[in-house]
Amino acid sequence: METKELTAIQQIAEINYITPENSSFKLTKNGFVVAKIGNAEDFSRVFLSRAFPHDLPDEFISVSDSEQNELGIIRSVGDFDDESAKIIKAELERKYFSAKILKIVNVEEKFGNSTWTVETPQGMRVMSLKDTFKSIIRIGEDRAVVIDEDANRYEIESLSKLDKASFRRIELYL
Amino acid sequence: MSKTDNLRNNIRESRNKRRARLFDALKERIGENEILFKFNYNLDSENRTRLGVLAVTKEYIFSCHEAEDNEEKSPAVLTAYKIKDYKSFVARRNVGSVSLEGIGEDENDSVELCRSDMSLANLIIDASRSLNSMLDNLDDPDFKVTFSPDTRVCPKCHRPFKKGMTVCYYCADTGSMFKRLLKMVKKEIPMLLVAFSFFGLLSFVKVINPVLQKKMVDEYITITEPKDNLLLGLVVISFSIFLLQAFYKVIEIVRTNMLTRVSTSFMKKLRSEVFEKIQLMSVSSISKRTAGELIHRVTSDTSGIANFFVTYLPQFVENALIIVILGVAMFFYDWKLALLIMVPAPIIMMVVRKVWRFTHRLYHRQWYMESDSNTVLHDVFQGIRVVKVFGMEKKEIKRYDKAIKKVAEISEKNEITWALIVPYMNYLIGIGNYIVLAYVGNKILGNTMTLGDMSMFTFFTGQIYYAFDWLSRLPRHIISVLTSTRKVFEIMDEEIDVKDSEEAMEHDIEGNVEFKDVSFGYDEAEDVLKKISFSVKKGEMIGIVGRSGVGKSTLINLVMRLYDVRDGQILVDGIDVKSLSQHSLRSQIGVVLQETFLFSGTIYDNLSYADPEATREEIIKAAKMAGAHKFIMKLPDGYNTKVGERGHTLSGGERQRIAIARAILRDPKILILDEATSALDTETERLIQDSIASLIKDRTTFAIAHRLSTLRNATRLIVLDKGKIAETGTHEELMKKEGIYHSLVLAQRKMSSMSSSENGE
Repeated sequence: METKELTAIQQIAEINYITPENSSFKLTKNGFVVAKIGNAEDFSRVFLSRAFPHDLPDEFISVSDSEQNELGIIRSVGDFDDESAKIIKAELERKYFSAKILKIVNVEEKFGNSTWTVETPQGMRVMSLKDTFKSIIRIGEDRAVVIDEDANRYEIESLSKLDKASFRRIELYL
Repeated sequence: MSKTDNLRNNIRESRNKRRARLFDALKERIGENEILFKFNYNLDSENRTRLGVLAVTKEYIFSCHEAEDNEEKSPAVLTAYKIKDYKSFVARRNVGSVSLEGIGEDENDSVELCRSDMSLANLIIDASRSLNSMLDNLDDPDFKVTFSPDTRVCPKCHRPFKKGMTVCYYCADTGSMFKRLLKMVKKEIPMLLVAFSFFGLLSFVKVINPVLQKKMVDEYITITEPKDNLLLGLVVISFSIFLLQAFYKVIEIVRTNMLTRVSTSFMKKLRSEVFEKIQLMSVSSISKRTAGELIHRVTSDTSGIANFFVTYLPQFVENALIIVILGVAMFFYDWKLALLIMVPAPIIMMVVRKVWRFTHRLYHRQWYMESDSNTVLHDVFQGIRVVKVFGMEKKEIKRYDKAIKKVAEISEKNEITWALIVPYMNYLIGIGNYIVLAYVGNKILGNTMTLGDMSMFTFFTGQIYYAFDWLSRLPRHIISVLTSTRKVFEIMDEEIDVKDSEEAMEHDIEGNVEFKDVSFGYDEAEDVLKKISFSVKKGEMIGIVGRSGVGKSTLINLVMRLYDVRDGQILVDGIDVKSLSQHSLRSQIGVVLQETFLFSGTIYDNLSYADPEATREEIIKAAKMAGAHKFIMKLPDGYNTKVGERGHTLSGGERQRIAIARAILRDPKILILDEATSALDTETERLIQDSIASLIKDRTTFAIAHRLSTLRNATRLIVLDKGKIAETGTHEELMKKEGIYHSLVLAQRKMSSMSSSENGE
């Protein structure tokens, strides 16, 4: 009985790894990722999600079908050939969008809300944070993700590399 | 207008211009009157900034976007898609962006129509709904598509209003917030004014007192020549000072009493208004905030506001009066000295204020660090069992050490800074006294002023500088009270999304329930229930079955109208639940949930919560029916046993039986059992099955149960799958069908036989 039960649990916990050997990825003519995984006969649309988006963005990538059923996990994108890795990475970049904050030009606080003017590679952005402290997620000692009131994401890749004036403007909230 | 507002406006205006140009390009291809609806987007499929406009006509979707970012004259790229080439449209929520996809029959035919960051997400979500409704009605030439996203923006700053918002709090100005608060304190204003006038009296006493002291020093203490009636004069002046002090104290007591009365009355009013508003808000509005946050709004924020009105505002009046009255008095005595004292005072205080702001910033940071270390303590003490079980004591010690090390470092830094700053601050604040000393001392030596003058001026100067110092700190209190006010008003102004209509009616429910094409989702982008239709006759028991997260609890939440449906209707006895008063509807619905919450109070209080009019006999009878009486009687205090936060802890099964007794007492027309017996062991469940059977008799019942065997007697079972009704029928019918229900039952049987074998049964 014990063996049987363990087998059932093992089956549930088993990670079905998607490897270059058991899968193949390509793009449709309109740029969607389709894959043929395991014994599947045809290519079908797949959706990718990072299991550890903050610290392992290219590892443990969950691959699901359009019904949100997980088909398997990619252990590391680096295991795939350049062409497939390029497709997977590009899809992940499309799914996870956050503007990089290069400089914090101004922070205005009013009645507990704050408005940040920041410089990003896409130009100047003005974002509103409803509750400043809650809107900043620290990742490790040096990184931070800022989520504005619309749920847009901004990333400060290195707090220690921010210029002194930028850091001083947000130091209080960190 | 601030620098940020200017920049925001510039960005908006530039984008509007660019979008207008795109729209012009679009109009060259299609006539404006052909467009059924249109909306803006701002990213391309690679998440690069590209402004675009998407316009929908009867047959086509036209997407027009810039080829380059930030190029005023970037050429417009126009693409057309035929609506009927797609089987559906999906608003796909990514992380930080949302895209609209047309799903074709073949993977290769699917296409991304547009993409946007989250600021325009609601437009894309609404558009996908409108496009799908167009697809559903392709054969209907009279079909009129609706596209009505919430596009309200603040007229001043143009920030979009979020769901439920009626006022923009980025633009709320100090004056209007105070005006509104004054309106709330309207009744107390006369008493507040009387209390303020007492401040005038007190300030006046503050002037008279040093004048009398001056007289005493100059005319009776420092005299060198003998004087007639010296003793009498000294007694009269001393007695006057004594009387004045006594008068001062009496006025102070009366004033404090008045302010306390105003404060408590205002706080009570404010708290009850905020609490009442929260009670009226829908579950979804309340769930957006944590319990701690709401408690903070009702208690700390309201007391902060009341405190401002009865402490800071009167003190402001007092200090302002002191500056005016003592200032005038000093000018009256010696205008040169008055100028020497008054002119530098505001400048000195501005410097002082700057220093205070700097130190406040330092301490604010320390406060947050301390709060962080307290969070560690809170976590560890709350989860002490987990810490012990996993043997993580050392890790937690390290974690706490790290947190307090940070606090220690910043606190040391702050203390050193503080020790360096304070002497200079005191020097600055006391500078007036040095001026008086130098000026008056010189005059005394020249015999044009007396020691009494010096005592009086020193006192005046001290008071004036103290008042300026106090006033320099006032802005911080104002900011704090305005933050509290903003948060309180945000709740007060929030639109109630589930509300009674003006013609909401009371209705004696019979128990017929009908779902007509009901769609609903907590998240705008994804519907949990999609076009659900079924009807239930009075007295039927409906078992709702399906995998976790399929929408079973959502369905019964909609019956109770805890949320409003997005599309379709729920009818009770043929009347839309939106036309019934919420009280009328819910007072006739009984609920037994998986988790039963007991309020602080006795078991009796908790039972009578369902029916405050119930007699003791009725309560005991209900408890007996629910199988609760037996365990209640084993408790030393019986029905008077205190339960809840500070009371006796009941087991899950015991709490569940209390919940069943509550439902029995309520005598509902519609009964909802959401995993009502899941917390009970099989034996206990068997014992109370009879009570449940008598409870559901002749009542329309909706039951959700993980243990499918408990639903065996249901009149009908509804199996939900992927948000839709997948199967309906009796247990026997569904078993014969060998569909989803059949496989769920088999899986459960397999599990239970496995656990029986394991237990050696």
